[in-house]
Amino acid sequence: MLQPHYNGAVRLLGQMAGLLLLANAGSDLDRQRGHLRVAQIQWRELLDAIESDLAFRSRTAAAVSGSIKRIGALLERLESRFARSLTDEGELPHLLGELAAIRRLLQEASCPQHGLAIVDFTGACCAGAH
Amino acid sequence: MADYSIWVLEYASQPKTETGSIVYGAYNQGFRAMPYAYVVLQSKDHVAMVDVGHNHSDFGETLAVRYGVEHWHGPREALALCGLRPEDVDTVFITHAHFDHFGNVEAFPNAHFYIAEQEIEKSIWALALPERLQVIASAIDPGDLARGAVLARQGRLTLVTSDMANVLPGIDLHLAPDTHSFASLWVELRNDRKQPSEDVWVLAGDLVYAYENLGGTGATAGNGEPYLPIGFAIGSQTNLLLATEAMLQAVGHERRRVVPVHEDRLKQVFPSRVKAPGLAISEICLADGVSSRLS
Repeated sequence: MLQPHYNGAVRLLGQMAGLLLLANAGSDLDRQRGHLRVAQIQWRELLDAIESDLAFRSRTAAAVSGSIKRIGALLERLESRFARSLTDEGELPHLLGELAAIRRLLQEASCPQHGLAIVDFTGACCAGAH
Repeated sequence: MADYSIWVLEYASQPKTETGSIVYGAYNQGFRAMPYAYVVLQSKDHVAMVDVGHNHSDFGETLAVRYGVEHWHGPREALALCGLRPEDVDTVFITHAHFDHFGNVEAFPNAHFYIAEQEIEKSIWALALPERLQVIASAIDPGDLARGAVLARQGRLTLVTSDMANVLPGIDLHLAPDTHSFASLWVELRNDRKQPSEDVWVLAGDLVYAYENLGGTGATAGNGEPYLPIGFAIGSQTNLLLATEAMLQAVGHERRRVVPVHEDRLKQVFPSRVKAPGLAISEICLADGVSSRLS
């Protein structure tokens, strides 16, 4: 089942984006280091899970797998130069561009009727529609 | 003396929403329309907004097919109802990080944004929870966080860490942690700039969906029913009720001065004009010397 991998990639993307938002808006870097650690652990688990599941051969699966690998590269970049990477003028445009590209990839691979969606609307105000 | 004009602009609509999702516990009480809207505050010196709505391009089909959110209109079309353009907006208060409030920041190239720090930090925390707990992170778009990071890099985003007075003249921001979202903001506008003010308006975000959440549509809370919280809350219903009380205290319990943007009956309480399905303007108040935008 691809859904947990897809959702995991979306959530990691959100964690990284939030981390960059906080860092660039002047939030406390030490608190964010904890968020980064959690994201790294989750990314490793996600990568292991999708690599061990050889059943995925579709284009969607390729997009999800590619996204997870690209997220890993971003995490590595953040880890190696944590404080600087988050806000550095040279690093940041690349990081933000890569985040946007991964989101596009996941958006294009989305399939809401099968539970692959960038946004989970189940707890949103629109969810009360009939 | 009134410094600001206030308009609520409806930019999309959901014609059939379960009443139980609007008012907590209102089970089997039918359906009602739920507009999607944002608020414009215009003074002589500023054009501010409370929330920016969502961008139709990514989710329009899903929202239309699965949830019946229809008739989306972009900010240029909606703001034209009050004679403004997205470029005119200099300040935006994001009440919370859900897709339909924080989802269209790119449309406002000259605006400075405010959002609660705790709203973002807890969003990261929620996104890291196991999938079985993902309802806690629902309605959050990672893309909005990424666009927020760009704003922050450009020096166009301020994290709100506590209540802030006079963010713009006469405008105060109040935190409501652990309510509808992780740390929602509500906006208090003192339209005479006095403290204490005799002309306060409250822009409630999603702390209130409908008048029942405020205890009814009568002029004062004292004559009304008990407050009922909204149907959807990630946080505490107790905190939602206490935030409701704080908002109503700010307006001297004059209920119509708390503005709920998802309330369809707003168009009956205030002078309004419906231009097209999902496109409407409600005129909450006018600044001195400003003429109505309804004609």
